[in-house]
Amino acid sequence: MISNNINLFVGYGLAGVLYIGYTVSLHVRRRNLQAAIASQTDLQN
Amino acid sequence: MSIESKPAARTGAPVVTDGTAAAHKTRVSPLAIVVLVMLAVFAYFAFVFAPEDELQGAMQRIFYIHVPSAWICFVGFGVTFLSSIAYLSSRKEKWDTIAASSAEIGTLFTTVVLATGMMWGHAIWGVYWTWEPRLTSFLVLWLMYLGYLAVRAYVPDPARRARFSAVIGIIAFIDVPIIYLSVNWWRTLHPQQVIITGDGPHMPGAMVIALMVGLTTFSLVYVYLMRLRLDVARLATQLEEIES
Amino acid sequence: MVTVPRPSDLSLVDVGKTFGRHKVLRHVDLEIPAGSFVALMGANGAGKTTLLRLVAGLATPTTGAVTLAGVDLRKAGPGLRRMLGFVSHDGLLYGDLTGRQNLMFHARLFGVADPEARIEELADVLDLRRVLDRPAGVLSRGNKQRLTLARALMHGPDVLLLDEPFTGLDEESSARLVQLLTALHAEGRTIIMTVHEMSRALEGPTRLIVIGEGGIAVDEPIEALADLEVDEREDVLVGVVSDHVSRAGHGGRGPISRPDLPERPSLDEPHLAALTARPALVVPPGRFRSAGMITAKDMRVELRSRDVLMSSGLFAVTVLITASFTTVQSGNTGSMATGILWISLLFAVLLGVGRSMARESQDRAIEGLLLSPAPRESIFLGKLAAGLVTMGLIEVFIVPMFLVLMTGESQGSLDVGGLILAVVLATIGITIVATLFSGIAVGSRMGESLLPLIVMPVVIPLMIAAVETTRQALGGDTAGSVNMFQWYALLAGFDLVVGLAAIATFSFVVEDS
Repeated sequence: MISNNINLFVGYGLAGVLYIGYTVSLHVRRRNLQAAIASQTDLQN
Repeated sequence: MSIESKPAARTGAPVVTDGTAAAHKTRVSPLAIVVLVMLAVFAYFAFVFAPEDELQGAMQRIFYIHVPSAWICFVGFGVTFLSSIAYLSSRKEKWDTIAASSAEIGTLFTTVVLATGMMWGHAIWGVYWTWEPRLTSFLVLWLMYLGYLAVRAYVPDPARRARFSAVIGIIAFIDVPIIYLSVNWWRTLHPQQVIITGDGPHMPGAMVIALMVGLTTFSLVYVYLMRLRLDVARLATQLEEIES
Repeated sequence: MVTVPRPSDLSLVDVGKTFGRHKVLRHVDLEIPAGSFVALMGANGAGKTTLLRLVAGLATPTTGAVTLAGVDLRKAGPGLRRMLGFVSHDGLLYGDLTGRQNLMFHARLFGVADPEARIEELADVLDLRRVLDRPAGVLSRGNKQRLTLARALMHGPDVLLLDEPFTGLDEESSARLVQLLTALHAEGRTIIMTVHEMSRALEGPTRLIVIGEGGIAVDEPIEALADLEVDEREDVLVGVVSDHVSRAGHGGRGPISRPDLPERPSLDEPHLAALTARPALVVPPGRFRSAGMITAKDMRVELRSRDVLMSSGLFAVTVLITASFTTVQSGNTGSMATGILWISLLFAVLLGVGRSMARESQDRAIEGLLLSPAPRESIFLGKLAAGLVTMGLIEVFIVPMFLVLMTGESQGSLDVGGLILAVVLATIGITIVATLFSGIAVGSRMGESLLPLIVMPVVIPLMIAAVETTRQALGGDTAGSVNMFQWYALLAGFDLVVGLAAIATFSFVVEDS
């Protein structure tokens, strides 16, 4: 029971890293796609 | 379907008008704000409002993220299951996109369930892994949906990929109760000395409330991630259409 | 058109086909009345083959519909599928089977009344006598092409589709083919063939369709073209057909005359008559008889090649022997030993079923099954039964061997009935999942090696139940509150539920492949 708080911290930390990491990766993918679409449409205009 | 209808109007149009950097900026959606507020509320309920557990101490607080994640993971795979059936009967690409997005996010939630479960196990049982039925079931579930995602990665043709993964999405979900049953029976043959606590009937009311807040929060997180993921899928399709 | 469609009137209404983001065909409208003889041309990748596959019912249109005799091909029943014959670019033949066995298999699936006589007829006309009893896999391109033709003509189709049928044929065989097609046309059959060279389009066909830029670029009676000067004719094709195609054929100036058919290999009348006459057909085999034929075919292939029995069987034996060095020594039998037994059997199934499905995709043989009137679920049932028979043969050796090697002298009472029930139920479940998913694995970029990754997590409940039931059948302790009946019920329940789901979804795995 000594390591209780550390485990709790690590548990929430891991969950946070996973959730936030995935969210950020989606945002990055979306931004890259938007940029790519913008440059493609620029080329066509 | 609130997940489906909105994003189309939000990001597609401004990009075409001018290619400047400003046009790329996406406004923070109201849903994102609600999710952030709910996460703060959740933190309060999980760490302050809910009382300390007599047996497990602070560690019990991991359940407020562990249990909702587990529930949402079923929701996610359930959505994949239903969308897979919808795809096979209608052949509309949107159902495949929804199925794939939900499976990906469901796998993320399963990963969190496993990670938090292992941390709890380490604190309470002294080991990171034990073949506790529910944890084991989630491990099998996780492996199944990794297979689903692997098939998606290895089949280039979109129509074929959609058909293949829909079949796996259906079989995998049907398998879930059978997995749980088998793993549960298997463990009763080799009884554990540790009895699971935390979400039994004697849970104090305040803990139940905190759990409900967690469930609401992570449901919103699921909806938010789904919207974002579908948005990415839509943009990817749009880009492919421009390029071809 | 208000007229009632004749039995083999074909029509394509607003047909589009998209692969990924690539639109191969768009808004194609075509009426091909019964008795037409159409030459289909177009540059490489223009969509000729795709169009033929749509008409054959092997591919489903993304938009629009293909109808034969007024019936949408997607809803084609056995009767409608028997009206079509398809000579694909691939032979759709099983390389391990002889020509005769291949033809016999198709004749039975299509419900030909007297297969032996029909094969003799076709062998005569198509000059197949010498190659009929050699494995299809070792035949030369030309011989294989003629065998493929025999397969497609077996059931006397009303509509014959040929994808570049002249490829690999020498002059003599080509001339024979032209003669044959002309005779079939004269009999009132519909023929649609893709050709690469203009000269071929002028030998027989009455209508030329050129596909370009995803649609119909040219659709003219052949006479209209034949009357043109070569230069003008090329104008018709310029920009639509690749240079390669338009330059091919007659290089000279002047009006084109139909090339004279070589006199040498002419077929005598009675032969041709035998060929163009429709063979007597009986009611096509139903769900279970078709499945039985597919199982028999698989077993025949296996008996010839023996590669599954060798690889899977020897694999299981090797695992058991290797494992017994580690477990018997330490005295750790019981669960561990039964676990090893089931791991070896699981992998044996994965190897065998994966191999068997890979054979189906060789030469696209499975498309021969999809073209047949056999219901889709009978393909699954047939493959499943073949997998089970093969595994049964392997298990008859492996399980007794396991009993001798691994269980030692400690065994009390052996429950033979319980052991057999456990082995049978668990093998059925594993083979169901493996058969369904093998189509997926073979269709992926990774091939058969993807199979374990997707099958193993799904069959974990089976593995647990199989090990528990096997262990207790061997006289292991009966501790625990879960009784044996529950474990057997779980095995049977898995087989039933997943089996039904597999039957319902298998057609989605193999279609459009």
